[in-house]
Amino acid sequence: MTPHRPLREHLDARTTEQEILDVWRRVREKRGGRRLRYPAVLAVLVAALLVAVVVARTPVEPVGKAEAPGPLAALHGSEEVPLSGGAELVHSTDLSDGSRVGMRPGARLSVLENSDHTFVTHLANGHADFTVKPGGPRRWVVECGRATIEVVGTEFSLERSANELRVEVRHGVVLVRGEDVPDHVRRLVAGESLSLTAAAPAASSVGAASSAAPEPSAFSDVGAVKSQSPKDPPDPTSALYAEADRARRAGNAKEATEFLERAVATEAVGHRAALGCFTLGRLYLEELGAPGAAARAFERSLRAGPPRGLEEDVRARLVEARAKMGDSDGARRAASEYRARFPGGRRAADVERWNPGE
Amino acid sequence: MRGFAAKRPTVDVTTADLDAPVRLPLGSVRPTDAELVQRALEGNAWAEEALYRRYAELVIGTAKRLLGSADDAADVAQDSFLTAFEKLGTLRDASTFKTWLMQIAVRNVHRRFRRRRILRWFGLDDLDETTLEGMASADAPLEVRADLGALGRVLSTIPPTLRLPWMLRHVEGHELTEVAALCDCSLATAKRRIGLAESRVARKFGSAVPE
Repeated sequence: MTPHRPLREHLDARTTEQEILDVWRRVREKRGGRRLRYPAVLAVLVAALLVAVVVARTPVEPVGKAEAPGPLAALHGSEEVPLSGGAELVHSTDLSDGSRVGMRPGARLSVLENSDHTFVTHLANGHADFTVKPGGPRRWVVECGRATIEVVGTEFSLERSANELRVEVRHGVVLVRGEDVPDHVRRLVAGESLSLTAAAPAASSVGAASSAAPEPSAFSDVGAVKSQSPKDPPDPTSALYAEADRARRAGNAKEATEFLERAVATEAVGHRAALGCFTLGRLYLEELGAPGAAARAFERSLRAGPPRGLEEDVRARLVEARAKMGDSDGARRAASEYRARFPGGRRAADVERWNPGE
Repeated sequence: MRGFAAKRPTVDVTTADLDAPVRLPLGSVRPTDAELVQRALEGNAWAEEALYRRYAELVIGTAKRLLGSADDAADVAQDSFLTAFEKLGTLRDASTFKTWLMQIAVRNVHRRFRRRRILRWFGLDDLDETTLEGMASADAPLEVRADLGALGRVLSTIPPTLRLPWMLRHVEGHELTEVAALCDCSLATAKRRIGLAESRVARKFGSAVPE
C-alpha cells in the first residue's frame, strides 16, 4: 500500500448485501442463458439499424477485391472464439484459417497481436509445434525472448527453456532474427534446426535436424570450451559439462546430475559454475522430485556468482524448491530476497504463486 | 505450506447450493483461489459462487468509487464476473484470479467511461453520478469534505486514461506495480499517467494531493 492513507478511507462506498445478491442474480441469469429481455432486444434492433445505415453508406468495393479476412480465431468444435491480444493458448488449438498450434504440457504461448495481416505470439516457455497454412494473408511472428521467428507457410517446432531456444523446421522456410543469432538473422529451410543457448552471444549452432552431429553444450558459452581450438583436448571440467549435457538431452536426468555434481565440485565460482548449479537444481526439482537437493544447488549457484539475468531465475527457483520441501520460512525469506533484488521482475508471478505476499 | 493444498488430507463437505461435494483441505475451511478456480473449471457451481462472494464487495466497491454510480458499478461487476467465469479456462495461473478479475473490472470501468462520453455526445447521459464529496464518510472532517469536493471537480476534467491510474493509486491505495497490472500497461506508462494526472490535480487544486 502507499505510504500515505488512501482517500478510500475517507469515503463511505459500502456495498450492501442486497447489492451483492442483486448482481449475483443477474450473473446467474446471464450464465444460465436466460431468454432475451426487452433491453437486449432493443439493443439488437438498434445495432441492426446502425449496421444497415453503415452498409448503405459504405462505397461498393471494386469487383474482385479480396474481402478482409479479419483476425484469427480459435476453433472449438464448430464455434469460433476470437483470439484477442493477451489471450493465452494453453492447449493445442486449431485456427480459423486452417493453421494449427500444437502445445506440449507446460508450454506457455500468448497472443500479442492478431489482425487481418499480422499474427504475433509470444512463447514464454515450453515446446510448441506450428503448422501455418501456406499462402495466407498474415505475417506470422513468434517472439521467443532471445530470438524472433518469422514465417509464411511452414511447419516448425520451437522449444524454449531458461537456458535454450531450439528452432526446428520440417517444411518451408523461417527466418530467425535476434542478437544471439550469427549475423543477427538466419534463414532455416526444411530439415534445418538452430539452437541458441543461455546468455550466449556466440553459442548458437545450425545443423540438420536429422544429423547425428553432436549438439552444442549449454555451457559452452560461459566456460573454456568456446575458446578452445578443435585440436586441443577439452579440460576435464568442460568434458564433465559436455557429458552432463548429453545425458540431459538424452533424458537421463540421474546421470546428468552425477556429471554436474562432479563438474561443480571442481569449480565453485564463476558464471559457468553458477549455470551448472542452476541446471543441477532444475534437474533435481523437475526430473528427480528432490526439492531439498534442488534448494542446495540453487544456493550454490547464488554463491558462485551468477550473471544478473540468471540470478533472477535462480532466486525464483529457490522459492519454489523451498516451498516444495515444506520450508515455508525459507520460501518466505527467498521470496523477500527475490522481491528486494528484482522488484516487479519477470518471475514475480511465479514467486507470488509459490509464496504469496501479504 | 501455501500452494500445496492438494497434498494435504481432504474431507468431503456439502453445502446448500451444491452440484457436487466439494473437497476442502482439512484444517482450512477457506479454500484457496486456485482450488476454487479448479473446481469452477470442473463445473462446480458452488465454487463459482464462492469466488463471486469472495470478491464481489471488492469489485463493486472499487467500481463505485471509480465511477461514482452504484448502478454503473453493479453493471461493471456483473460484466466482470460474467467475463471471468466465461474465460476462466484461459487463466494460466489460478492463484492470480484476484488480480486478473480486477484487471477485467478496471477494463470495464474504462468502457463505462467511454460509453458515458458517447451518451453525452447524444445528450442521453442522464447519469446520477455521486461526487467524491457525496461519498465522504459520516465522520470525515469538514476540511476533508471540502478537499474531496474540490478534488472531485478537478478529476472530472481529467480524461479516464489518466484519471483511473491516479484513482487506483491515491483513492484505492494500490502500489504502482499493482496499478500497472490493473491498467494492463507497463510500470513506466502507469507512472507517466499518474504523474500527468497528478500535475493537473496539483495545478488546479493548488496544492499536493489531500491525504
